[in-house]
Amino acid sequence: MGALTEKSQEDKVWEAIADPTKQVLFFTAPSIKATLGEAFDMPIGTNVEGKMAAAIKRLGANVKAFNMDFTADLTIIEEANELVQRIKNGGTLPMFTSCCPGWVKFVEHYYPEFLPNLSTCKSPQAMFGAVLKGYYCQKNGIDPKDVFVVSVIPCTAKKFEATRPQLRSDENYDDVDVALTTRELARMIKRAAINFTDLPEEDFDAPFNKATGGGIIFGATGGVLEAALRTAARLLDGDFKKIDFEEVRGPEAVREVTYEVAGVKINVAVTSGLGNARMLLEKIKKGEANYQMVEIMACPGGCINGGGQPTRSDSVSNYVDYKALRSKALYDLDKNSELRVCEESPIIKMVYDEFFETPGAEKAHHYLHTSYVARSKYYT
Amino acid sequence: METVHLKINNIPVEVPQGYTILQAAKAANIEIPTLCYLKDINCIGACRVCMVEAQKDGRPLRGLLAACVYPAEEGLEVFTNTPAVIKSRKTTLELLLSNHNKKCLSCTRNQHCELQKLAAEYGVDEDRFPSEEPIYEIDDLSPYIVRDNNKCINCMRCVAACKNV
Repeated sequence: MGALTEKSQEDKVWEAIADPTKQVLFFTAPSIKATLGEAFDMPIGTNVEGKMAAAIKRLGANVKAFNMDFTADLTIIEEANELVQRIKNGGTLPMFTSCCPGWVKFVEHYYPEFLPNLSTCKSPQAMFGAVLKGYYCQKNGIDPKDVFVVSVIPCTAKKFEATRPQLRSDENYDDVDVALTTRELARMIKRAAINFTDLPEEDFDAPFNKATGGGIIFGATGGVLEAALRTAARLLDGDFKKIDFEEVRGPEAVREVTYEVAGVKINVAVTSGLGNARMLLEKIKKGEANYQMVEIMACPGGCINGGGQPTRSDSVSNYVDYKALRSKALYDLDKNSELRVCEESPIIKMVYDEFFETPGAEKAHHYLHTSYVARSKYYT
Repeated sequence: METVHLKINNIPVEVPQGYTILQAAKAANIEIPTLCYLKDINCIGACRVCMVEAQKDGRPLRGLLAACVYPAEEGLEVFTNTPAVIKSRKTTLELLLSNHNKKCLSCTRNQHCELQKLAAEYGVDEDRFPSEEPIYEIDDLSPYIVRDNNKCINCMRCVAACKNV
């Protein structure tokens, strides 16, 4: 009924596009390709990646469209490395995923005793900001003040995340200038009078145009953990072959699985929805569960059901399993990807060779890792 | 599993015990409009849009029933679209709109709004109960979320989502 809405930030983006001194760099989160079509009356679960890239490029001559699945790959490289280090060196376990800003802030407010358990990896959105204002600007000789970074995310909490001071790789500016929800991008495309459904399928802009299946499935609950397992297992055992960890995929509220890799037992748990998260944290607190890694997303079903996604009518919300249809689009893409393990991506190799050195290295740490703060339960 | 037998709009339906009339109707492919109902999250009979008429043993039940909370009972005969039901829904919608900020053109929900859709379907007179001027201050304390209680229809869905999800 419109009583609760996100604050629109579209105007800031239009201003940047109209400014000839600015390069406007868009990137879209993994789940957007599976949901944006709904805003243009396409069937639920239609993959519109090609049309989405084409539409963004048509918003202005100074606009580039990048693929955030690439920094989902990058997150996994850092996060899987962190997990293996924590296991080998007796670090704090279980390690919690840290890509979901709603979940991170929930821990900061309600369970600050678990802050050391949160992976120090930035989220894919924050990593992309750091890649663009760090690596990309340096490589192309651009002043970071002349780029305007726009993320397209399925989430209203990502708008808050973009302003977290802990995420700045340079203290003078935010790495991500504006975070737009799927709904806001859809409105921008409509306002630009772009006929979305008739657009040709186009590629994202180089150099951040491709990703692996591991990055793609970030948008669905269990996806981050599965991608991390693919990479972590290969770090522990060079001959590891398994790719599909179907046991951690939806739709059960909590999935608990034990894997054994190179003699190391890895207990994992996945859940989504903060009610389930609270239940799982209480279980860990009481010592009733012993996990190495836990994935939590604040929204039930993960980002494909995020608070910034296109709205649905009640007849869809109540009677259609739209979460399954949207995640199927991502898992189908993963299944058909040539490269499915994050470290296989040639773009990942490029950014480490040219800039970040090695996973967990000092430079990687400066740009790709962050810290958290304990917050009060009450708004002050 | 125990089942119950009832009729909805004269169509015989067999559903598991514990189903609501709304669920039974859905099983028979009969739509009953709702506003506050959110499957598994909010089921409180608050908005009174899902009202239906019913009779048992040939005798009409007193008043209308809220389909989202009333259990499907053995031998119940439910009617979802009688003139009394339609009139009740229309009046309910007009009352909901009486203190709803109706600036649809500048609302982000324009054309994606359940209330707007039902108002059109039931042909409501949006000014039947003249509204007062907006009384709630818009809360935009958060940098990213705006709360405009002048549009709230007390469906309690946001409360339920925060409590039950």
